[in-house]
Amino acid sequence: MEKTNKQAQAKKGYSMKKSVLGLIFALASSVSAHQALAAEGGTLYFGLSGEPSTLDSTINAGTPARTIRLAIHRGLVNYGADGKLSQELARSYEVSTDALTYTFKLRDAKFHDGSPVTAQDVKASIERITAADSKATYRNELGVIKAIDTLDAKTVKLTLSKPFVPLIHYLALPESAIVPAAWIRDHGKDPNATPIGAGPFKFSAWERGRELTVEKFDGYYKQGRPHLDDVHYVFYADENTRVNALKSSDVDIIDYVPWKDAASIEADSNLKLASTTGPFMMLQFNTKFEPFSKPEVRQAVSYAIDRATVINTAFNGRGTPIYGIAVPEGYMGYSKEKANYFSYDITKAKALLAKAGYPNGFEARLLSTAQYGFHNNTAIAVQAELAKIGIKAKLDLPDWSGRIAKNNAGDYDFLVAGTAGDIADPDWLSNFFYGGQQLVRLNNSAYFNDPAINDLLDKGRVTLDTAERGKIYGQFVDRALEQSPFVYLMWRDQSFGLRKNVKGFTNIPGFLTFQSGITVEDTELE
Amino acid sequence: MNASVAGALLLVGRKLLTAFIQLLVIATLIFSVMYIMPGDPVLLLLGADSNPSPEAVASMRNQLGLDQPVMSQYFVWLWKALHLDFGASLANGYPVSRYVLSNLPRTLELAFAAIIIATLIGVPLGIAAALKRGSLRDTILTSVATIGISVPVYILGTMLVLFFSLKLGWLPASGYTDISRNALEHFRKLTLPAVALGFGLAASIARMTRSSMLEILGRDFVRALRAKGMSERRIIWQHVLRNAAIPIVTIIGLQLGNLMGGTVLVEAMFNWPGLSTLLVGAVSARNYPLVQGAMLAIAALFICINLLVELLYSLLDPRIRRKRT
Repeated sequence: MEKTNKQAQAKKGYSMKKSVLGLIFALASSVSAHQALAAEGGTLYFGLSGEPSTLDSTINAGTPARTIRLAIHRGLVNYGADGKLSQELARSYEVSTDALTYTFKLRDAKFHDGSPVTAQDVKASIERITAADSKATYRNELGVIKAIDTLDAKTVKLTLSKPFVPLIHYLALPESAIVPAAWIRDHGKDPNATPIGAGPFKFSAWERGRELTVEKFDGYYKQGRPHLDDVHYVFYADENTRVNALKSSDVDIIDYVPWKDAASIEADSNLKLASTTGPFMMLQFNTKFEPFSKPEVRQAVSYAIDRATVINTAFNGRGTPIYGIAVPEGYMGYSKEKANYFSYDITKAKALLAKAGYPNGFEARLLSTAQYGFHNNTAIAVQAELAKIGIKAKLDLPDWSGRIAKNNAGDYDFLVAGTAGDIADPDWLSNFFYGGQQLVRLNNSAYFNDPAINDLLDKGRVTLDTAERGKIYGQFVDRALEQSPFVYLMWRDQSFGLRKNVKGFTNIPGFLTFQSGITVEDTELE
Repeated sequence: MNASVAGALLLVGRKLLTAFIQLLVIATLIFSVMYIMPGDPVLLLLGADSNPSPEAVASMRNQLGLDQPVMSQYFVWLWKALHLDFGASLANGYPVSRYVLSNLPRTLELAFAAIIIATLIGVPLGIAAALKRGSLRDTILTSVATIGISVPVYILGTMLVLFFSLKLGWLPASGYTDISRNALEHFRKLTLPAVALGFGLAASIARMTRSSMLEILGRDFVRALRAKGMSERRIIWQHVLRNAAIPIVTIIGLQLGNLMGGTVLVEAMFNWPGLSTLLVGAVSARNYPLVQGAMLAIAALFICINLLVELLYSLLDPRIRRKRT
C-alpha cells in the first residue's frame, strides 16, 4: 500500500495531463457515467470474488461476506486501517487485573432503525453467539464468557470462566458484530432477514446472483463518515471477468487480484494495486500416515522444497518465501533468527529421510484442488521438488468442496492449504497447532497432538504480561520448528485493484487483509 | 384443418408425457451424481476459512435435513417437486423457484439474442455465397464461416472484450442491468455476450444455408421455373428459400439447445446472471436443491425447444403435416 502511494505521488506531475485526457474520454463515453467528480458522495462499485452464501453476522462465510458485513455492522471493537484494535461501539473498556472481567462503556451510537445501541443489545448479540444451538464460527472462543451484566444502559460487564487474554481480539472480528436485541428476537433465525447494524452503511437491496447495495447511514457515530452515498457490491466469481470489469471501469475496486494480472494493473495509468502479504501457503500432514508421523520426515520435506519454485510456478513470482513458522513480522512470536531455520538444503533433507528409515523415499497422496489455479500449481511445484529426495507425491485434485470434505475427514497423506490467522493476537496459532478433542479439522495437521505445544498455547492464553507472553510464544516457535506439523511455503501477495480516483481504501496488512472492507467508510471518489 | 389441430395436440400430448419421464430420469441422475460427488454443503456454509465446531455442523445438518438417509431425502424431494415445490437453497433458505424464475428469463434472452444475431448474419451470408458459387465472394465467406465454427466461444469472447471494452471502450466488459431500470444499458450489456454466443452459430447457419440452397438450386423444378420465365428474385425468395428452410430451421433449433450449454462459458465470462451462473455456483457449493431445480429448468427448456422445432417443421412443410394427420 505504502509503495503504491509513493508511486502515485511521484507520478502526479505527469499524470495531470493524462487525467485531463482521461476526463474528456470518460465524458465522451458513457462507460464511466457512474463515476462522480466530487470528493463527497458518489457511488462506489466494488467487484467481489463471490456472492455471500449468507449475511448471518455470526458466521464467517468468506471474504466477500465479511467485506459487506463490515459496511453494515460494527462491533464493540474492530480492527482499523492500521491493523490495530479500534474502539467502535465501545467508547472505552477496562480489563480486570485477573483478566476475568471486561467492562465496556458504550458510546452514543444508533442502529439503522434509529434505536440507540444499548448494553442490552450487546448482551443479546454475544448470547446469540454463545447459545447452545448457535452455529457461530467463534462460539468456542467466546464460550469463555460466563456471564454478561448490563450495569446501566451504556455499561456492560463480561465475566469469564477463566482468563482469556485474546478475548478482545475475538470481539474485534466481524463475526462479533453488535445487532439490536429486538432484531435478534424477531429475525435472528431468518437467514434472509434484512440486516440491521450500527455501521456506516445500511442494507438497501440484494439482487441475488448479481449485486448487493448499501446506502449511507446518516446517523453513523463517526463525524463526517462515510463519504460515499452508496456502494454496489457486484459479484464476479470469474477472476478474468473481475479484472476486465476493473479495467473497463465497470467497477472501481476489485478484491483477490489474480497474480497473473497484478503486473498489468500496476502498469495501467488508470489503475493502482494495493498489495500486502498476509495469507500463507503451507503443507499440512496426516500424522497417522506412517512416514509423516515422524518429525524428521516433515523436516526433510521442509528442507527439500525450494520456495522460489512454488512462488514462480503458482504465483507469478508474487510472494515471499517462508523457511520457518508463518508468524508475520511485528506479530508476537516472530523472530528474525528463526525465520530461515529450514533454508533450502537437499543434502540435509536426504540425511533426515535416511535417519528416519526412508533413504529411498516413499509414495504419498498430496491433496489439493483443481478448482483454484494457485492451489493446483502449488501442488505441482511441491510434487516436483519432493521428487528430488525420492518422495513420489500422487496428486489428488477434487474440486474445492471435495477437497474441504476430504480435509475434514482426514482423508489425505498431506495437503496444500492456503490460509491466514484469524486475529492479530498470537493465539491465532491455537486454531492450527492445538491438539485437544477435535483432532481432525480444517486447519490442523490430522491427529497432531503435542502436549508441550498444547501447554504453551494454554499458558499464552492466560498470561497478561506482554514480556512474559513473548517468551512463551518464543518457546512455542522452537517447539513448533522441532515438531514441524506444518511445512510453510510462502507468504502470498494479497491485492486489491483500484481505479486511481479511489482514495482512502486501505488493504490492511498481515492477516487482516481479509477485513479491509472496513475501510470503505474512509473511501472517497475523486 | 381440425384434424391437423387434433394431430398437433396429440403430438404435443405424447411429447409432454415423454418429457415428464425424461425429467424424472434426469432428476434421479442428478440427485445420485450430487450425492456420489465428495463434498459437504454444511462444511462450506459454516466457513471454509475456519474450523466450525462439530456441534454446529451437526445442528446445521439436522436443520437442513441432510442427516436423513439419502433415499428418504430423495423421495421427500421428489414428492415436493411433483407438487411444484423445489425446496429452498441450503445456503439461505431462499426458494429455489424464485432463483430459477429470476435467472431463467435472462438465459433465454441471451440465447434468443444470440440466435437472432446468428440468423441475421448467417442466412444472408449463406444465400449470398450460394448465389455466386465458386466466386471469390463464396470462397471468402466459406473461409470466414469455417473460422467462425472453429473459434471456441471463450477465445472469441475474450477478444471481443479486449477490443470493444478495453481498447475502444464502447461496450461494458460484463454485467447486467435490469431492463426496467435502464433499457439502453441493458442492451449494451447484452451485446457482447450475445455476439460471442451467436458468432459460431452464424457460421454454421451460413454453411447450412449455402449447401441447402445449392442443393435446391440444382433441382429440376428450379430449371422448370426458370424456363417458364419466372423472375430470378421470385425463384430464390419464394421457391428455393422455402424449400431450403427445413435444414436451416433444424440447425437453428438444434443449436438453440446447444446454446443452453454454451451459455455456461459465456455467462461466466460476462458475468451474466443466468441459469448457468446459478448452476455453476450451486454445484461448487453442493447446494443440492438449487442444482436440482436449475438442472430441471434447463432440461425442461431443452425439451420444449425441441418440441417447438418439430412443430415448426409442420408449418414449413405441408407434407409433414399431412403425414402426421
